[in-house]
Amino acid sequence: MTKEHHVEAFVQATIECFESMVDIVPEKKEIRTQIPPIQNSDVCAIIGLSGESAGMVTISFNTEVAKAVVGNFLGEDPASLGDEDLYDAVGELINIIAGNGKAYVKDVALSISLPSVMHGDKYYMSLPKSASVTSVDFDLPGIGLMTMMLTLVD
Amino acid sequence: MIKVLVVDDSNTMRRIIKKTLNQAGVEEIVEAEDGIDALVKLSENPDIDLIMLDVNMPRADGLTTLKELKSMPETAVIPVIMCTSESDKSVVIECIRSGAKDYIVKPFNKEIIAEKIQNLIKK
Repeated sequence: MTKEHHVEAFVQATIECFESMVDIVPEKKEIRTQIPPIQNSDVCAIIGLSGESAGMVTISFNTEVAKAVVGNFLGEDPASLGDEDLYDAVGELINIIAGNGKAYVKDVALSISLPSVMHGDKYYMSLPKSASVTSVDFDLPGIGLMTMMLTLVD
Repeated sequence: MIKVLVVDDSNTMRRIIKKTLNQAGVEEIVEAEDGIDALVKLSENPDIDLIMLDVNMPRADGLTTLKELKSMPETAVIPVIMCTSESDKSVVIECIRSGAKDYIVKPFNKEIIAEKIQNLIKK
């Protein structure tokens, strides 16, 4: 099982999650294998991977995009969403993506952690030297940009 | 008037399922955060007609709760729909063997939930 298979699995899981539950068809855009140390997204949901592969998967976006996504997800006006609603829902999105992504990574036993959500302006991301990172941008039509990042540690 | 118990540790998922049930014509909805809370809510609401039960929950998970429900005469007859993620498929098979009526895989299409509920209501 290659890193590319893992990336494909989590890309597929991300697209299916958004199509089914957010009523948005994400368009895959730029793929990067290096990330800048300073992250500019305001909201980042993280879930850890362990087992035969280890690492983490994240989705991140700015607050306005996150609100629009969660508004669609919950079927509610984004303006009516409180912070707790927003972060709980973003955590549930990464939970669904990771749960399905691990199913698509066939023949590799994976476990997922509980989701965490970080929020705030700019943060530094420091990863182990052995970590390989793949960052995939998605255009959410009419809403904005989201990034899904898969980090695997050898 | 049908009354549904929604059991999920995620507040977000309970909100989404509640909204979907409302759209399917279900107005009476009781919520529980896990399997233990579900048993309490069932004792307080003996007129529950249908249970939507998440598989992955802290304290008492969906399968444990399902087995508990099916072991008690007063709750054994209530149809249960399991909610799960794709990777729990083997657990879903175990749930169906243990008496669950149907299952919904996350991510789910809201129309599919509405259809499953309406089919069960008709029965």
